[in-house]
Amino acid sequence: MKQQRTISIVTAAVFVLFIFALTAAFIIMPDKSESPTERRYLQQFPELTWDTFSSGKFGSQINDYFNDQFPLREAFLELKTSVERLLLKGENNGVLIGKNGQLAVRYFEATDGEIHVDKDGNYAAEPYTDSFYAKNIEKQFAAIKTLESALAEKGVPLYVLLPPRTVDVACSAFAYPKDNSDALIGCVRENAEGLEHFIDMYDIYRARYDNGEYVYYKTDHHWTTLGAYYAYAELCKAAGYIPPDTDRFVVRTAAEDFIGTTAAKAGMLHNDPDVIEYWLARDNSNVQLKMYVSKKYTGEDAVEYNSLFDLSYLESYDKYGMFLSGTNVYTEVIHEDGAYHKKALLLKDSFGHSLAQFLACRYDLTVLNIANLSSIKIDPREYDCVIICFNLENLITTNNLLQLRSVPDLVD
Amino acid sequence: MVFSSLVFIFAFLAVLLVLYFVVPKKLRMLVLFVVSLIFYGWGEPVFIIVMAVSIASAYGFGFLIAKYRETDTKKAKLFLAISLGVNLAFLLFFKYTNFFISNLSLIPGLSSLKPISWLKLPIGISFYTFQIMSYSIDVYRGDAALQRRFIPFGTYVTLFPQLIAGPIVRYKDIDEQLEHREENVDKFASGARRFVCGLAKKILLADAMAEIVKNADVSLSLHATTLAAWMLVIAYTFQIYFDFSGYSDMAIGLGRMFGFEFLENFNYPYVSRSITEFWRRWHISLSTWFKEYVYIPLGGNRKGKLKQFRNIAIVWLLTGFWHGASWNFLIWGVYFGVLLIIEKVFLLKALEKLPAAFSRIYALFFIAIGWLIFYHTDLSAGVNCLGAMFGIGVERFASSTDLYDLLRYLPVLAICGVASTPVPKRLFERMHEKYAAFRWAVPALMLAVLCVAAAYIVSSTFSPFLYFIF
Repeated sequence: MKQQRTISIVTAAVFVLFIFALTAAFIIMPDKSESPTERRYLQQFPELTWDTFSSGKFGSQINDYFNDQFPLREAFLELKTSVERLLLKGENNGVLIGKNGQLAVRYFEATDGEIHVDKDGNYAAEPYTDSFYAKNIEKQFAAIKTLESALAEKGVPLYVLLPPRTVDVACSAFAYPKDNSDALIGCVRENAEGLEHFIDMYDIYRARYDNGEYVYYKTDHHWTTLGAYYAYAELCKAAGYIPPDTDRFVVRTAAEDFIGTTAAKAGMLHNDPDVIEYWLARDNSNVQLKMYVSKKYTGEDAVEYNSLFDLSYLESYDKYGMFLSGTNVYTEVIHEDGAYHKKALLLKDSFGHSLAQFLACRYDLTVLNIANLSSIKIDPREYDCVIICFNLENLITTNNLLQLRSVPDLVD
Repeated sequence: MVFSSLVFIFAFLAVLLVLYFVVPKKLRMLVLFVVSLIFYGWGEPVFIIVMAVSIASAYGFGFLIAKYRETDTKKAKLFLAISLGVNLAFLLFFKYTNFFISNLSLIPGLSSLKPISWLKLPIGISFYTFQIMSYSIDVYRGDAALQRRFIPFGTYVTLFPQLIAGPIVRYKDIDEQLEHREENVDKFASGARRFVCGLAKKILLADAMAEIVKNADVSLSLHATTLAAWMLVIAYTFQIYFDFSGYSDMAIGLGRMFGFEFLENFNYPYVSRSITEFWRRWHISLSTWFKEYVYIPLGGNRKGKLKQFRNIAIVWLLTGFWHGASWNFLIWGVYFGVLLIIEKVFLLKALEKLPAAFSRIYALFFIAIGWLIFYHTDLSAGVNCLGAMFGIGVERFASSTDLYDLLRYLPVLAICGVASTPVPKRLFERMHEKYAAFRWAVPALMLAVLCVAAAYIVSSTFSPFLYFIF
């Protein structure tokens, strides 16, 4: 009996101390303003007014405040990840955990391209799925084809590059079956039929990945610089050039401690980090240039750079942002070597950022975001070629390629 | 506020523990009352008013009911009816108005009827309304004495552990404890263990099952397979049990920390050998409430088979409707009503003769189909899911992804399976009895589980803004 009493006291003490210790830590530790790993601002102690209180806003902000400012947040995160591993789930937060520290997002908010409204009139979120809507892909390919034929009238070639997602490339790292990837790739190939220059790299990446080549990051959803190089090599072939060998470049290491978006999503901030490289052409063709980066289509307020790389990003968590200085509305790359350069229009998502260092070996570039093409003032028919670089993730989760139709005089 | 949130454990509970055990004994009830109101008002403070009116009316009418119950039964009955009417009116208005409107608007000529957009369901109203009603009835029947003091009565209704999701405490079961109860370290320790156990059920098991349900649901709508339908139904069967019984465990545990003893709400419902047995083991406080305050007053089983079946039908229609203002809950209630009548007529006797394994499979199958109905507020999705379970309208039996998911969730599914039976508890008790070392390990085990549960709560709030590819 006496022993049971002592155990009760210990139990009660453990319970109460656990709560009080963390509560005390919560109170003592200063509030943080932002979370670099999550790339967002954290909730501060909310303002208490009658309005915020009676609407329940105060309550919900206090919830967020606790969640955001809780002590030992990252340690708890790691603990959860370990327990999930112990339970052999093989995934965490919808991210596949594979061999050699390889991570890949499995579920995406695939859209059928329509806006859905629930019965209360709110926009319904797209469901997370590892499947996709063929209809949405079909429509976006139709937009590509409209652009292609408009360009063809002026003899401007269109190169279409739809880079795969990590989950489509690193299949061999996961127990997760590749059927869904194969189905998506199959659907893309089917729709791409009839396109003059569709650059199909799906098998190439898989084979190179299986061969141990570092073509996609382990902790981020992008391709590596090597991966982008292979895309450029295929593009060259499609355009009728001989691609430059890898030894025509000097490889520089920008960061060896890159923890990307996939690791952040998985809550695995201590995963094996990735290495970011940038490649400088030995003939200086992607070095002697100026880059003008602007938030506006017109190129107004452009910031001038002497290189394609903004190394200040390496200080932040968004290290991939070093390529083309992150996502901007309008970017111009102009050579200063006095030689003549063909002009290419790169319509892209962020996969295009690391591809640009190779395209710059040959072209002067205008770089535009596919997501904000709707207010475009630029006529692609004035370029020597147009390149679309758009990741399969964006292909299935948005219908942004439809914005290709907003190119001037291109009404379908 | 929910129990499985950081703000509950590390702000609300932390402050309450200090406050409750520091103030003089006399003030403890007041502390509970005030913090319970804060707990309730956290998300929607306006609804405190609705609850306060319900409480005040039952409190006031209680005096009239008690005054007349021996001298003038007619008057007592009238006041009882008014008191119940006021409470039910709130429940009907907030919970069912829009359901009726949207169904009436389907009738030609009434299509201009529009649901009232500002009408929201006050949290916990179904639970506290039933608690309040039990007070009025218990006083009317003389099963409980009139509560003259407002604070203890208010605390009975608002007591935060059971306020939002039960157990539904009948007034006569807790009457005594409101005045005289003992808090001690043994009770506190046992309450803490129970709370952590419930927390683990909710966070580690129910939430894992919820992942399966969510994914299976999406994949059914895109590429239906038989296996995905079964995964959905099985995972949801586990999810709802661990979610709800976990919540009850937390409520019972918290109550015990402050000296209250609530009755058990679940008793391993999935080991039942019949639906009749299932409903003696599932959400016991609700079935008891209906039995006591509806079924028996209607005559129960004392007035012949036909009347009994009618009473079963009424109770199960109400039970279904209590769960939500949607057709699927009505169907779900009727479904169990029909099964229970069939069992009463002949099946129960037959089941008794069958080997336990068969009758368990029988019960589990019909329970799971019940959850399928319960899950699908969208009836046509429910029909599709049921069809898919039996190979109707599917693309194939199983996709490779289904098999992959089944395999990776197998350990958690197995844990859920075992945890649904009394085996772990028996094992725990045996070890506890036999080994002193184990007894000493229990607090450490509790701490470990608490840490893991906290880790899951914290990480569910980790929401990276993913710099995206635009």
